[in-house]
Amino acid sequence: MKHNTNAAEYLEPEPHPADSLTYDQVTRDVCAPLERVPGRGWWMAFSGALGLLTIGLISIYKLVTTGIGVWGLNNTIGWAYDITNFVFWIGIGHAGTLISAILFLFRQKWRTAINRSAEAMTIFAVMTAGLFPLLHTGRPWLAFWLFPYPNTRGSLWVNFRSPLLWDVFAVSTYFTISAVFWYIGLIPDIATVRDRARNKIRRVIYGALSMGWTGSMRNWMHYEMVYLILAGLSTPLVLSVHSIVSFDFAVSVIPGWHTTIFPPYFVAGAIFSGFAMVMTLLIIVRKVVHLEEYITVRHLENMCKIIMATGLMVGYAYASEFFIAWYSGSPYEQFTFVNRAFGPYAWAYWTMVSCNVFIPQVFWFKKMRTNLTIMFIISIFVNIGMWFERFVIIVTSLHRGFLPSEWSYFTPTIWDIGLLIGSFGIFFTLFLLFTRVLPMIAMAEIKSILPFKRKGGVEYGTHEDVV
Amino acid sequence: MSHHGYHSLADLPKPGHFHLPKTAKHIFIACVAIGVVSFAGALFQDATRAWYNYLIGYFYWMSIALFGAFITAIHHATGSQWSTPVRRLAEGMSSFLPVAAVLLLGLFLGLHHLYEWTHVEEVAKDVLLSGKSAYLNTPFFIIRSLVGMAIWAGFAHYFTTKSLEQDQSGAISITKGLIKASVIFLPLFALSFTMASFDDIMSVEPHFFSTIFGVYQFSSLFYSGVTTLTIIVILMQKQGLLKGLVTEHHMHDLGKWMFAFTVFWAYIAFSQYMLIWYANLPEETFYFIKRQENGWQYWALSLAILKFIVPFFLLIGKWAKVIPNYLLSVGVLMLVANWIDLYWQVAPAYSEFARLGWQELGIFVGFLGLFGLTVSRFYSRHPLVPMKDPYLLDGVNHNQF
Repeated sequence: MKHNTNAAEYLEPEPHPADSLTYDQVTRDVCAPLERVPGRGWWMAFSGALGLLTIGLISIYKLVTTGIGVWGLNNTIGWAYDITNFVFWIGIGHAGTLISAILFLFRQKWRTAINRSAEAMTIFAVMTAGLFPLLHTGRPWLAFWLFPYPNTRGSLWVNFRSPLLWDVFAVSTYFTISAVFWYIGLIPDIATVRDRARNKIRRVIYGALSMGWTGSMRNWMHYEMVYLILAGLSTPLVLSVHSIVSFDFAVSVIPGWHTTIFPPYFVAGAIFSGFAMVMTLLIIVRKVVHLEEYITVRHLENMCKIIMATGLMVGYAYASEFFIAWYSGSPYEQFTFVNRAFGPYAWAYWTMVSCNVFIPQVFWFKKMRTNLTIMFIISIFVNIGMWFERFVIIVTSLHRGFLPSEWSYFTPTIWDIGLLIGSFGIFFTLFLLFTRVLPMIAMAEIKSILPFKRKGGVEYGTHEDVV
Repeated sequence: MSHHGYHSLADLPKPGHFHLPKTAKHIFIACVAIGVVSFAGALFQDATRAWYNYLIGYFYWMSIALFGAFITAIHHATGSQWSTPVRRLAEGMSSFLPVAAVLLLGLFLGLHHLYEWTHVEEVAKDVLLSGKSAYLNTPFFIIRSLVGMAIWAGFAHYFTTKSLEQDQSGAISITKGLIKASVIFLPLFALSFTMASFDDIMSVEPHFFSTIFGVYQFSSLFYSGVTTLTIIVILMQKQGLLKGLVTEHHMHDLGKWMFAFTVFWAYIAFSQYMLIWYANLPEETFYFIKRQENGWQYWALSLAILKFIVPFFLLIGKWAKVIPNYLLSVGVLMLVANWIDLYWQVAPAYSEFARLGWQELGIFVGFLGLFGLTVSRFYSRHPLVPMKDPYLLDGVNHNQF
């Protein structure tokens, strides 16, 4: 909506795909990775991911055939890498739905360049996350016991009072809605791929997936309505999932876990880490697949701003926890927080604070927000910091029980580390496969924000001005 | 819906001049008079009751005024366009902050009645309170309050003055400066308002602590602030002002914010209550036990119903957000519910049994009258819309499609 005002020129314009793009070129660029034999870069990345995945599979094999005793857990520290990884990956899975749903409701049109890959990431991250509670049960083949249904196991019901069960509901709902949302968004683009298909197999597969999309007015009307409704439904889900994950800790009476700010704090942290992961991936992907004209530096700059804002929220939560621990007058709370900062896990605590609170502050400067190398490095730091945040919350609170005889220290075994590495393998393998079979950029949405062009290149406003 | 929009700033209609109608002015003055008389009367009868109602009135309207500064900062920091036509009205809300600063000085006179931790001999007997005395002591409380207020009023003053300056010059550099100031203000706001929430409201029960408390008060600030802003817009429109500048699309967006914050408040309130209930630690539960017996349970219930459930359902539809009288009525209900919330948090600290008398109503309307007089004075002296704002044209042409 530019009209005659020059505001956008003088002030910060919304990130926008390059003006030179035409509808035709968008289709060609976005479909290209699907229609050519993958290049060397992709194969190298894919074999790397498969290598990590193999490590993960070996660790899982060892775990399932032996039992969770292969991990470094002990009587005091019953949760460590497993639940840290679970919360970490669930958190990563927040950016996708935030970008698709909340930024959609906020009319942030720049999201169109990044929403598809972020949504895919969400789904893969939630799948990766789901693995950990299952493995942690020790008998993953009995995982269906988690679902409440009348059964013949002496009518053994799940415990509805346990937040772990709420997790089952919250995560599976979130996964379902995110997957549906992602798929609905894909339909018009899949239809484009179908129409370009040169062989029968492709046509049949993409034809079935596109569910008979014709691009008619009726199709679009229904599509837009469903998309808006799903955005509305997903928005509270983004908040609820990580709130419920935070309940796993906060409903307990363990010092450092039981604190009321946990729900919004976990949500802010999840968005923080999710955006960092989207940034890490996109900086690589836009280069490898040549999408620089779609995912511009200005898009990444906006993401830097969100990372900084959510990073400040996380810092706010750290500070208020620390302050209230002192203010509460509870010696246990006070001990826990002093112990976090100066006890045996101080190294983990300060890694977390540095990566999450101090380092992202460089994004106050525009020069840093537009420097790809700096952005990439900081996004890695945030990923590390947010993994450590969960580790610090879980392990430091557990390792000092109320009785000194319970005191202990957690040291990971190679199987702990193997599974952590393997989780990246699962995630990257799925993501790389996605880049090969589905359009990575929402073509239809990008086209809706391209300037209208006629012969001679006269600009007639955007698509939206006409609707 | 067809929309053609305006093509240049010069085409825009004039917002018109606001004059506070005589009756409204008399009502506001009467409110202030009632407030002063009620406060004085209550002071003689039960000074503590007078002071806690003063605290509620102060915090309630200070939050709404602070919302004016906060939303202005959010507007600049996010580069919003749609809210440009209503931004001046938000700036006007923040013109109450200097008055709130004076009211804050008045509040210092009542500290001894309000806060147990000011009683040195009590604190000495109480291990927990003496542990907190490095933070909860009168001089430090006054310093924190003054620093917070100076930040709020100072930034609000800057936002408004610069914005009025732009009305003359139309300089883009002013917008750039406001963006910078806003991003500095926002983190300062988060810290200072959290501190004010802990100090003013949480420390009425000095043994209670909750890390989410600042976020809780923030949700109420946004809830009541955006509702007040919407009500102001509707009342202006009823006078025939802002025609063609603030449209149905803007009302729809304001209504969405009201709707969103009914949910956000419920989310935060539920998180706090549920976690404390579930963990069942006596050092925390005493706070809610006190607030759910001896009549307070009806307040607690009406809070859940009136602050969340009823407005949530009333505001779901799109139609609900664009029918002015309807939105106005829901808005009034939400402001009442917000008062119930604050009263329910503060009063049980002083009164074992729930009660509602002329003291509560009288003192509260006193603050209402003061707020009404202050902001309407601002609106009658300044243009209602920043007519040379570089984003104004996009803001006015804003539509939902």
